Amino acid sequence: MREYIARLAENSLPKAGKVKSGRTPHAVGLIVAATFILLAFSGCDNTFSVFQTISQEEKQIGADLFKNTTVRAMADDSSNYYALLGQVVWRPKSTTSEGSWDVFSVNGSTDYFAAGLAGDGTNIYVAKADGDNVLDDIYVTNDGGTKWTAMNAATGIGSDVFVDWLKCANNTLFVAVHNSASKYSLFYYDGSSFVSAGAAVSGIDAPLVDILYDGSSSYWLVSDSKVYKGTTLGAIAEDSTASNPDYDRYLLGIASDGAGRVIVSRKDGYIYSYASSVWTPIQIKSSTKLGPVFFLTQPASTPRILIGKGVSSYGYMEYNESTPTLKENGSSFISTSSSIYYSTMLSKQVQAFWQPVNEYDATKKTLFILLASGGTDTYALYRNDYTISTGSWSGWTAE
Amino acid sequence: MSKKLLVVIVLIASVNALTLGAQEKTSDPFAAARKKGDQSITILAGGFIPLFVLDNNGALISPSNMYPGASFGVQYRYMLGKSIGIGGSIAGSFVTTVGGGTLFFAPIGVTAAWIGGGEPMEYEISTELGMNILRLYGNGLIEPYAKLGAGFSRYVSSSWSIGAKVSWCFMPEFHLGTYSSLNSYANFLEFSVGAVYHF
Repeated sequence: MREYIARLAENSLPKAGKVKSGRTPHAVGLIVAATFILLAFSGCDNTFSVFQTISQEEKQIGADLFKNTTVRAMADDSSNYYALLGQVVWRPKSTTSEGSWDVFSVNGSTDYFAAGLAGDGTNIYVAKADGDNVLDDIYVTNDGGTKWTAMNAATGIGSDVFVDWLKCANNTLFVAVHNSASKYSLFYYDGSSFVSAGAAVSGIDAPLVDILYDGSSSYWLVSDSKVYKGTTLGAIAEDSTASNPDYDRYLLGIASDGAGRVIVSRKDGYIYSYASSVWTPIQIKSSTKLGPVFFLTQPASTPRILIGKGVSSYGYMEYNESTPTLKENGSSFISTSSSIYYSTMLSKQVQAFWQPVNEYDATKKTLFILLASGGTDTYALYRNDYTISTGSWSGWTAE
Repeated sequence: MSKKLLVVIVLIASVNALTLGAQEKTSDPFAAARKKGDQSITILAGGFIPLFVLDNNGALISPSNMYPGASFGVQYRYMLGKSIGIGGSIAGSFVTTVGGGTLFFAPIGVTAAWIGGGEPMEYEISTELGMNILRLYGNGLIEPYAKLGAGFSRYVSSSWSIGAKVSWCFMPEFHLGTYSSLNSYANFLEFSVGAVYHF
């Protein structure tokens, strides 16, 4: 073997008198190495410490129910939290989170598929559907699931409908659906039956994203293309205010401060703010797809806007309007450290931010973040507690 | 998962070495006297254990929040004489973190070693210097590193030997200007088994 290699090496050497042209192997190697190092250095972040980031991490132990899944909605009553996966899961507010979540029995059964969940702080609404997401019925309980009432939703909404989401706004239940022809409609419950929320939001082509009440006078609805508004239930219509954020397939989320102001997030890195009958665009991050938005009023002196990121790293950003400043990657505000942000949020798409109607501990304000954690083998629901007296956040903890 | 992967890699490397060795048995299987110009390629696989991390002031960062991981490497060596060899190394390692993350290392360096012992057993003390690519949560750094190791190997044929090695790995990270407070000095213990092909 050695002799063979020696012969091979000998044959490969340049013969006497021959001059090798071009770069020597040494020079090529140096160029390759220099290019490699240059490229690698260009990706370095002088502000990021690997080992100190790791040293600040915290072990996350949540319920296995939230691993590798998507939490699509949450609700609460005075005693319990509820979260929507493929089924509804719940835990008492009085217990610690670890291991205390369980499947919620709806109308006496834990063998069901839940297409929607909503709550107004007292009533919990669950939409049951078959395996194809076709509406079976919507059930309501006001005693933590002991007694259920079927709402005969199919009578008002129809039988050929797929439930997209449920939402309570201003103590009214809204149901967004689409049919097999991909026509989207919004219904609301008037106390006795489900009726259309308006002709303008019945059988439209664009998927409905979310609805809210602005705390002043109006319900606001967004499809992925248009903003709708109505002061009267059943009369929600397209918003015709100049310079509104309407744009085909661009709208991603809506939020309100509860005092008449509304913001809408878009795919192009802008949020549009509505106040005093005027829409104002605010560039959050250039050419960056955004996601769900949320007004965070803690602390009251410096409220922030939380914005989900629609790009591949996902997670969220925090925007302080008073400065204004944008914080990413958990570098400030409600994340106690970047390392906790990275180990809990990175690569997970934000579905929603949510705060309970009824705080169990009056000294705190609780914030949940609902995530899609599929493929990460990590959790899809995290909680962050704000202590009012100290003005500090606890940091994200797995539920 | 990582432990199972490590075991599989080690087994494959060992069995491969032994099998090839058996195929190439010569009349004198240990005729492997070292001399200038001899070359070898080593494939190593093993564990990678976090020892401790110091901060910018030399204080211990505790806990380090890292769990043991695994490493894999390939080394080339050229003998300058009977006992001194130089060469290069490329490797990949990882450790997991308490938060569920994974820290990857990709050190590329030059090596120098003193080799002693006779046939069939050889012993070595080696050192390695180079650049280390670190990757965590999508953030990357390139930093220098140094290794100091010792190991042994046994010839199983004239071309193959198998052995084991333990190395102390010093992996600092340096930051510039106002971020120099982020400087950290991490220390790991790497232990590995491997197969060496001599030519």
